[in-house]
Amino acid sequence: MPLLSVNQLRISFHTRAGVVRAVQDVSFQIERGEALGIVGESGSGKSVTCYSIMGLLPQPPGRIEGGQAVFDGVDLLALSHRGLNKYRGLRVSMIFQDPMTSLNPYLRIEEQLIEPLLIHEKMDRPAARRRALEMLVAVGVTDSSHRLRMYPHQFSGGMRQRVMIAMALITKPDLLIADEPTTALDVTVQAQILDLMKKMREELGMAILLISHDLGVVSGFCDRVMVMYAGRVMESARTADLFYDTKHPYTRALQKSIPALQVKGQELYTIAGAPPDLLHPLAGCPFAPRCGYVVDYCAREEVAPLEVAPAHGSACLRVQKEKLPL
Amino acid sequence: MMPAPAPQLDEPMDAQPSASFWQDAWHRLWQNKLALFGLFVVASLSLVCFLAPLLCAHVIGFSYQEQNLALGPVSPNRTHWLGTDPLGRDVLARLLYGGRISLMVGLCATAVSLVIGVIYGAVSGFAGGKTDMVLMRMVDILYALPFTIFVILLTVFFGQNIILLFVAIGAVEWLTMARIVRGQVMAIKQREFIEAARALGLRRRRILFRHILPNLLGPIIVFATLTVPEVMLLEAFLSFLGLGVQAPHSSWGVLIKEGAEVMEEYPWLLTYPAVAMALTLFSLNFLGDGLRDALDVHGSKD
Amino acid sequence: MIRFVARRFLETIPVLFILATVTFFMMRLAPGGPFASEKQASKEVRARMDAHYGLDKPLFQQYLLQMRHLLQGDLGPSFKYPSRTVNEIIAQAFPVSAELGLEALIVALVLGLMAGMAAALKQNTFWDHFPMSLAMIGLCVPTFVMGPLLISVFALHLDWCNAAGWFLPRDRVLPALTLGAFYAAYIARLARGGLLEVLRQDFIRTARAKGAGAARILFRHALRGGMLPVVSFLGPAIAGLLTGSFVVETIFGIPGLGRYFVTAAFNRDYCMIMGSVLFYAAFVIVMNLVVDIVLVWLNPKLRFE
Repeated sequence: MPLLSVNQLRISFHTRAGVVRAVQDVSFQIERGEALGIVGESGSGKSVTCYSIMGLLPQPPGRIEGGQAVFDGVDLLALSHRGLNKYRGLRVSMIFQDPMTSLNPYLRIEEQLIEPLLIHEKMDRPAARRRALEMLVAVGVTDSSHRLRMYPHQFSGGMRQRVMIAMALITKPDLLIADEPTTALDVTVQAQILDLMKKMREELGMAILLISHDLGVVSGFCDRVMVMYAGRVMESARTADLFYDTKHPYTRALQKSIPALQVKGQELYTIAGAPPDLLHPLAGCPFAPRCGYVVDYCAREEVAPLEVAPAHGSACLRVQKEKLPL
Repeated sequence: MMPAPAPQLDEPMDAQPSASFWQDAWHRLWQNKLALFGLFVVASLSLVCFLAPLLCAHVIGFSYQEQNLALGPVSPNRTHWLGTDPLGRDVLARLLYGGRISLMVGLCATAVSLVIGVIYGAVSGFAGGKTDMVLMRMVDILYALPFTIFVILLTVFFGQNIILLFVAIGAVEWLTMARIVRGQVMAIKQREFIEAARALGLRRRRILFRHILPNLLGPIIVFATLTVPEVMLLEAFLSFLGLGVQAPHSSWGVLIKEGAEVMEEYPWLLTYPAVAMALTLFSLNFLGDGLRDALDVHGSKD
Repeated sequence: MIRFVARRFLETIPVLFILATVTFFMMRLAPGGPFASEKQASKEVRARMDAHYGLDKPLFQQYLLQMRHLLQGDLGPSFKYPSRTVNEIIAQAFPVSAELGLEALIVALVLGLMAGMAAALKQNTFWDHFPMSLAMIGLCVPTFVMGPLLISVFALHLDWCNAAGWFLPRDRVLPALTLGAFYAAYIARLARGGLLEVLRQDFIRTARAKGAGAARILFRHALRGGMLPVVSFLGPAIAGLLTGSFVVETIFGIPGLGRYFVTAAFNRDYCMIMGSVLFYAAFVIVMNLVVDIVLVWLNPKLRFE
C-alpha cells in the first residue's frame, strides 16, 4: 500500500468571475521513502493540490469537489480539523516557499521549533529543547544554542529555511511536503537547501513531495516526477524516463525551455501562446492551443492519463493512440 | 476580510491602483449590503434635511421656530407627526433643521480637518528628514493637549458662532489625518514607480501631485468618511455643554440634550433625535467600513 | 532601554513648557477675565481682585511669575474656589476620576477583547455580526444618551441601583458602563481588525501545518501581533479615562476631575485651566511612553533597534 494515495482530486475556486477549476481529477501515489516531484507553471494546480492535503486550502473560496487523499489508510480530506491535527506536523509536515514570512516574527526560534513536540508528543521543555538543538545542528545551523534564543528577523533567508526544515522534521514525519522551498532564495543558497533536504532524507528516510516550477531542481532530487498543466496531470514517470523517454509534448516543451540545456547564442526557447484560462476551460486537451504536435481531434476528445509504458503515464491523445515519437 | 480570491494561488496578487482597481473596489462596495444601506440612508437623510425649508412649508406645515405655548408638549399625532416640545414647536420640523446643521457641521469640519491634515501630512512625509521630524514632533505635542478644554476655550472666548465651531472641531481632528497621510506618503515614496518617476527626472511637485496624491485617495476617502461621525459626536458633546448652536436654531446634539433632560416625561423628545443621529452615525460608519474593505485600506486609525 | 526611557522623560520637559506657554497666551489674549462675568462686583472690587492675584501686572511679568511657580510644582490658586489651590483640587478629585476610569477601563477591556476575538475567529457568522453590531451602537450613541438610558432602565424601572451618587460599590456600576461602552466598542473593532490582519499571515498557515489547534493559534501565534492596535489605542484612552469625563460625572453626580476641567474653562479660572492642561498633558505623555515600552516589548523587531 502506498504511503499517500491521492485519487481523482477535484478542487475549484468560486470567485466573482465564475468557477475556477484549479485541480481536475488528479491522482498520484507516493511510496514510503520515495521522493515525488510535481512540476508545473503558476496556476497549474500543484500547490493547491498539496494545500488541500494539509487542510490549508482557504475555504471559501476554495472547495474540494471530490476525491480522496488516503494517507496510511486514512482519507485526510474527510477528517475534521481536529482529526487532521493528529497528522499534520506529526506524520506529514510542510515547508513553504517564503521563509521570510513563514516564521512567526513574535516568537523565539526555540518556541517555534519545539512546538510540534509540545503539541504532538507532550514532551517536556528540557527534552524538547535538546531535540531542537540536535535538529539545528543537523540542518547546519552553527552556534545553535545561541541561535535558539533569537528571533526570525535576525536570520538570513537561507537560515530561516533551515529552521523551517528543522521544524518540519523534528517529529520525524513519514512525509514532507515542500512547496517551492528554494524559489525565494539566492541561487547559491538554493543548492545548499536542496543538498540539506537530500541529506535529511537519507538520515530520516521520509518520503518527500517536492513542488517546483523548475524541472531542473526536481530532476536532481526526485525518484519520480509528475508534470501538471491547467490543473491536470500531463505526464508522470520515473525521473530518467521522463527525460529520456518523454511521452508528452508539454514535458518536451518544458525541457527545451531550461536555459542551461540550450545552445549558447541561440534565442531562448519559450512555449508559444498564453497559459490556460481556467475560468473557461476548453474542450479536449488543455495544452492543445500551444502544442506543436496538435491535430484536429486534440481539441475535441477528452483525455485522461493512461499508462503508455511501464510505470509511465501520459495524457497526450496522440501518444496514447499513435505512439507519437517525441 | 478575505482578499478577492486569486484564481492562481501560486502567484502573489499585485494590487496597484488602476482603472480596474477602482472598478473592483466599486464592485466590492456594491456587494456590501450594509455599506450600500449606509450610503442610501446618508444620501436620503441629507436630501431630506437639505429640503427642510420646502418640506416644512408645504408638507409638515410648521416652521422650526413657530411656538405654541398653549399647546405645550404633545406626543406624536396626526397634526404633529413626531409630537411637539414644551414650547409647542413641531419636533419633525426641528429635527429636519437640526439635521441640516449637524450634517453641515460634520461635513464642513471634516473638510477643514481634511485640508489641514492632508497638506500637513503630505508636506511632512514628502519632505522627510529634519522638516518631517519637527512637523511630527509638533503633532505629538498637540496630541497631548486636552482637546475638550481647547475647544471650550475657543468657543467661550470667541463667542458661539457656527463658522468657529467648524474651525474649532476641524482644528482638533486634523492631527490623525496628518499622521495617516504622512504614513502613506512615506510608504508610497519607497515604492518602485516613484523611483522610476524620479529616475526619469520628474520635478518634485509633479511627483507629489501626479503620482503620490492619487494613491492617497483610498485612505483619505475612508478616513474622511469615518471622521464625519466623530465630528458629529463632538458637536453633540459641545451642545451638551451648551456650546453648540444657539436658540432658536438647533442641531441634533441640542435636541438630544434637551430631550435627555425630560426623557421620563416626554420620551419622544429624546427618541427621535437620538434615532436620527444614531442612524446617521451607523450609516456613515458602515459606509466607511465598506469603503475600507472595498479600497483595501489597512491599518487602524492611529 | 533605560536610556530610551530617560531620553523620553527629558523630552517631556520642553513639551510641557511649550504647552504651558501656548495655554498661557491663548488664555490671556482672549477677551474677558475670571472676574469679568461677576456683574454684581463693582469696578473697585474687581480691580482689587485683579491686584490680589497679580492680574494687574504686565502680561510678560505674569508669565514669568507663573512659570516660576509651575517649576516649583505650584499650580496656583483657584479663582473660582478661592479657599483652595489647584493642587488641592486635583489631589482631591483625581482619585475619584481615576477609580471610575479604572473600572470603566476594565469594562472596556473585558467586553471589547472578548467581542473582538469572537468576531475575528468566527468571521462572517453570528458571533461576528452580533458583537460588532453592539460595538457600532456603542460608538454611535453619545454618552449623554447612554447614561440617562441606563439610569432609566436599571435605576428607575428595575430599581437595581441608585440613579446618581458616589457612595456605595454598586453606585460604580452604571457610570463605569456608561463611560466604558464607547471604549469597549472601539477596542472590539481594533481587536477584530488586528487579529484578522494577523490571521491571514503566512506564519499562521505554518502553525496550522504544525497541527496547532484553534486555541493555540489564537493565544500563542496571533494574539501578540493582533493586540498591537489595541495597545496603541490604550495610551490616549487610559489618559482620557482616568482624568475624568465631564458628561458621566455630571449625569451621575460624581465629584471627579472632569467637571473641574470643564467648569474651569467656562469660568476662565486661569490657574485651574493651566493646571488641567498640564496635568492631562503629562498624563498623556506618560501613558504614551508606557505604551511605547509595551509595544517594543511585544514586538521583537523593535527591541533590537
